[in-house]
Amino acid sequence: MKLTNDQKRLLLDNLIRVREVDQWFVDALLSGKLPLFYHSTQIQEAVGVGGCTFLEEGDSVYATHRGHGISKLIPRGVSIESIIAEHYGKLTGYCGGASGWHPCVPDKGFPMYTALISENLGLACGTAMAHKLDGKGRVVVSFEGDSSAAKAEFHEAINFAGANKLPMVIIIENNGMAQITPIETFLVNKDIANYAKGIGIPGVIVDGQDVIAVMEAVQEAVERARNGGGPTMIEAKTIRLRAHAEGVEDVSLNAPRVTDHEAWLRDKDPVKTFSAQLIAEGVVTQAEIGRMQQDVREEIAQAYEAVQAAPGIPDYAHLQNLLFAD
Amino acid sequence: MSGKKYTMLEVVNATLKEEMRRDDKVIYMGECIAGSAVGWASGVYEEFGANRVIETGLVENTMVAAGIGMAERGYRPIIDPMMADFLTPAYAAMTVAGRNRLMHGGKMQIPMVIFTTMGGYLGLGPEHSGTPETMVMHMPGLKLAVPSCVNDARGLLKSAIRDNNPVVYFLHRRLIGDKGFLSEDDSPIPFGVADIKREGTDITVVATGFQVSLCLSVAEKLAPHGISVEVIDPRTLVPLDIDTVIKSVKKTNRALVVDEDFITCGPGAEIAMQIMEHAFDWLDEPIKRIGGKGVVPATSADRFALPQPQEIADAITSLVGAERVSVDIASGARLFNY
Repeated sequence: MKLTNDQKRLLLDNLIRVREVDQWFVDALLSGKLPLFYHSTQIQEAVGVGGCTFLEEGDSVYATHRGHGISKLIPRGVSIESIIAEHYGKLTGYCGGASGWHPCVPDKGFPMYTALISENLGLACGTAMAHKLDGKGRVVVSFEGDSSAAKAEFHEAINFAGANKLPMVIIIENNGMAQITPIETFLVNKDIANYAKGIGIPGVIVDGQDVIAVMEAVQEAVERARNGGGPTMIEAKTIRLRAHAEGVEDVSLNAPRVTDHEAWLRDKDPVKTFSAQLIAEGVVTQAEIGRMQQDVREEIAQAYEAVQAAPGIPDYAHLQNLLFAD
Repeated sequence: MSGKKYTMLEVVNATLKEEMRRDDKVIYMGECIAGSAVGWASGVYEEFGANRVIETGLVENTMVAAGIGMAERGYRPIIDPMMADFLTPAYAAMTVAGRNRLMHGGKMQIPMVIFTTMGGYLGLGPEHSGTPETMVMHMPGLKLAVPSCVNDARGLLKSAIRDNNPVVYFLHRRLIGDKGFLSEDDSPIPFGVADIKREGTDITVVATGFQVSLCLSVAEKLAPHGISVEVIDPRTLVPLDIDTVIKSVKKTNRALVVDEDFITCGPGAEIAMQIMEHAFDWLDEPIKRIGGKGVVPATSADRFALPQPQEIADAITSLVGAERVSVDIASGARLFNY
């Protein structure tokens, strides 16, 4: 896919918007302003942004817990206000505050979400089966992390997708850590895309820090899926900058995690590297980047204000009424 | 009730086809269904083809999860893992089915049926004899239908398929070869409406699935001894029609709950507790319950593990203060062949 300058600016803007919202959540949680937990996605944003920015209307996406899905939600147009509102249990949240942070935004292509690792892959198979039966060329992009690959549901669902030639792209966001457990503890084969070969579908490894590389791999797989070519697994090699969740110690097994924090921020941060690339190409200026940051910060501030004023879940009866459909 | 008698197998098969003809969004998906290896699916693949009848292989968790994904997109999948025992690896997906709508703020509906067989008394061994009703009842958001006769099997299956929520429908394997009458009214039987299978005045017996027929046989044997037993079949455990049970207990002042699932935290425990909550002052005796013992059934050991007619009779006579009656009713061991 040959990108126009506008499309490149859109990718950068999405990276910046996700980063700023992530940083806001980190700050809000650490300052006691946010009641529940948060799993930062900083310097992992390129996987979601590259995978989702150029999907079409009607395509479906299953997110992950990292960043509570913001690197997928924001590029597909889910409003920052509805994301923040959901975290505060407000009726203006994308699920009316009932989900905490488990996105179901059907009009933006997010059918549902479960926090049970690998289970989304089975749900995604169903969405993909529906798309296949509908015959309208719609696809599903389903994200999981590396911890998923050790689970039975991962293999069962991806094999099912392959056996049924489902229009599906499985993106494994491999950051090498399952909470506090490093990947070598639970996987012999650390190149997860190899499992695709075992199942019998294409498996591709890309640099998850490179938003263009991710975008190109995903678009190729999406085209194959749209044309009846079945599922593809894309493993995006990435890194986790911060702890599993904010406010908890960043450990690997029982010792502090050894990271290359400064080098990662210098060389691996997709916001920084993609900004530099686009400035060098003459696509954006530093001033324009500053404006992108300023715009989203203002949007977040306004969103937070609106969320504070929004009504919350009123009572038990409200929840009880949501349990069953008529 | 009149005319010809039908087996539950014939009726369920005919109802499946009827519902699939009525609504082309109904998709039948599961293991060993395309080859009609299971009697209730006979001829379904031949009539509706590979787009409506999807053979999954033995992927119980994925088939349930995929059913949820399809239901969200407007399909009405019937998911068939063949045996309730095989739902254990699917429990993750079942919990998602149950809580999905609530946790997503009511933005979706999941019109899906998990349709399968349950139950013992056939000597099929410890992992092909389960009655995991509690597993379903415990999870918010799932409905549970457990038909005990041919007519209920038809009416409840129609309601299950037309419901806009995830419904688990357990057909008791010991019953599927039994014949029974169909009512002329073939409309869906609404969920949450218990059926009084036999009227009586001395004691209320609440039973589900195959236990209903055992209890009816026992009641028949006790009648000549002057013991009048009322047998109530809730037909759906979720929603549970406790009102009909309470009304009966207030009349008979005695209650026995009989269920095949493991007795600890079983449906009997739930129903007995609800009777306590609503009709304590009307009870002349403590409620008794009978359920699957805390061991799994094994081939040729069903009789030690599962409720037995004599056990039911003894509980009833002890509750009404009558002499023990030897009922001599066979509970199982029908040769089982799909």
